[in-house]
Amino acid sequence: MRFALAVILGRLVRFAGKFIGRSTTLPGRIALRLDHAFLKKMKFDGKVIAVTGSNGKTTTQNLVAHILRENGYTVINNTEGSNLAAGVATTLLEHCTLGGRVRSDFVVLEVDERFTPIVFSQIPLDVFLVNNLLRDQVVRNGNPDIILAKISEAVPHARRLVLNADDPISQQLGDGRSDNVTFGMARTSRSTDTCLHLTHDAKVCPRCFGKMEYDFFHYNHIGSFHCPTCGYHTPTPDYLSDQVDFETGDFTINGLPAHVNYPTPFHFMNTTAAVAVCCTAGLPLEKAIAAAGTFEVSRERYDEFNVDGRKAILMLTKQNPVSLDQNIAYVLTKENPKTVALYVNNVIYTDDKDISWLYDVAFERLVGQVDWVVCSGSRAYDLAVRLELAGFDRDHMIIEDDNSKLREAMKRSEGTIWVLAASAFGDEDGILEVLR
Amino acid sequence: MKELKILHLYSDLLDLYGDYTNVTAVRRAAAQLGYESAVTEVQLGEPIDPAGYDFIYIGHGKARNLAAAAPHFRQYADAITAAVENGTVFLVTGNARFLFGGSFQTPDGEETGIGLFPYHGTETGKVFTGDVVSRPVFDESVRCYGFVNRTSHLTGENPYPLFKVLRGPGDGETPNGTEGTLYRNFFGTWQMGPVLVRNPALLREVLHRITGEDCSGLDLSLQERALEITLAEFGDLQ
Repeated sequence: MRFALAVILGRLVRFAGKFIGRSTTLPGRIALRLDHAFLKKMKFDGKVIAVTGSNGKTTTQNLVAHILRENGYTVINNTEGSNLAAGVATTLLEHCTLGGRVRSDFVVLEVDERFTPIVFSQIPLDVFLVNNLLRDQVVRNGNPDIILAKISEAVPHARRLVLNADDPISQQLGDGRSDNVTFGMARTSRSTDTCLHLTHDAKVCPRCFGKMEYDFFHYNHIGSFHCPTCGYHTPTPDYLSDQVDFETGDFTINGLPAHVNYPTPFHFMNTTAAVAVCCTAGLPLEKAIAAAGTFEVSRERYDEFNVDGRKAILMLTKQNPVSLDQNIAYVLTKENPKTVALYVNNVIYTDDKDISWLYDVAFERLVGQVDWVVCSGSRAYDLAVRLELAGFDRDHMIIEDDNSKLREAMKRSEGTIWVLAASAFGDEDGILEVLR
Repeated sequence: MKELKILHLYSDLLDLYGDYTNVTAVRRAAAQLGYESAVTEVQLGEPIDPAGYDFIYIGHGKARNLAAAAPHFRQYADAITAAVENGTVFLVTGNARFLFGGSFQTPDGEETGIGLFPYHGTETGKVFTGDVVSRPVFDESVRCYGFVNRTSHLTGENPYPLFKVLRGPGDGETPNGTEGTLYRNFFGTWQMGPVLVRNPALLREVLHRITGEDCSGLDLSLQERALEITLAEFGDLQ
């Protein structure tokens, strides 16, 4: 009775919220308050798949849902921003019967790392993907070991675990289990012998603390590793992508031809992960690969426009060094002349003035590769200090912490403007409005 | 060319939140004074000989990594204690401070430091963060800004504080008025990441103690402006 009431009230709030454009988690919060065992009472006709990890959760979750739908299955999935317990509850209450039955073939959930134990101690979990574990938004996540410990509490609830063979940190979650599924990527033309990034969370072996060696890196500490001291190494993955072509987006998974529409190292890996998950859930490899090839990456965090006759591209990034590193890598593949405009505010959620995370971003890679850098947002001067430390000279740096003067200040710069802005979910600061 | 010898201890093992920039900041500022810096990195398992170094840095690390460092570090307790007592300049940030104190909790048990300071370490496993505004004891006319992000804190006595805290946490979980350690030329603080980059006064003091030179003329104007803007956001906190 209490449960049905929670569903009805939650749906009413959800219905009302659609008109006033309010939160995607409030209905779930209300339901969880009315019935503390709300999640536990859910019954699933199909399988539950969860995606967690530091980077790529949303894309990979959408990819998994896309592959399954393309293959004719009914799928319920949550959206970015509703990946905490209340968000999951919101998604489920929208689709369940009053008795709590969810009738879809699959439920695909993106869940914040820290919330995986809470959610999956209550609802059954068939396939659990952990994409990767890297340094993340520090205020929320501390460091990768803390997150590893959190996720490990959820692992016993998962029937099957899908892990990244090229990540020495998250792969430890499979310790003591025998049927783990792994995915990985062979060396590509963009793999490097040394780590190009400052965020490298596995310089030492996470098992024995000896110095870790790498045959190559894909990005940050993700790559082919081995520890000379204890022998810990990248296993032969069950799903291996290879023959990666960054021009065409073509590659292979276990020798079968595959394709992505957004050819970055990160996305090839996400696609391999999603295919591994779908196959673990029962799909044939050929069918999973074919469906993955038609997936379009969401452009919610990307926009193209004009600023005073110049082409400008907005790329929103989280306050997370790895995602900014990814965007920098992308900008580096684009032609000159170009200006990189960075936009950084106080810490999202807490308003702390900390910018330590900027020192974990390899801005050094941009030195000599861009014509101008612009430092903007409320932490513009802190950005400038960071960039000077990276090696930029002040003559090619524009510092403007007043948004109303930003467009004028940018006129001194040249070429395509790449706006790399740190935000929580979207363009909350209206950077597009400022520049347009 | 004058030379500066810097030892960055456990640079691979204890490496979080841009801590490495404290070494970079010293190098850059020293270069302005005409010094060339040679940085030696010593890792777990390698011998530590603090003699001959002008500046020794140890940064914050993951809790399990710090636990792995402790037994190794203790093997060199006498030489390290002698270096501190003789006035070698140290900067130790975050939980690496535990290596210089008494016992401290780890995720899997307990470890001990070299016992130079009477404090102990408590591990909570919970992420604790916050802005810190403070005045350094060597010059109470200036304010510093820092950020704390940790799962552990100090307990027990800390008789030689480095900062008088105006806002934010001290060495414990609750504000207790002081933070950090300044003993001879040993600087210790929970303020993590680029603490020397963000605080020109602290950088000048550290570099002055390393070189004996007058550091007031260093051009740290961009850092000063950035700090001024940050501190302004806290109002006239005194």
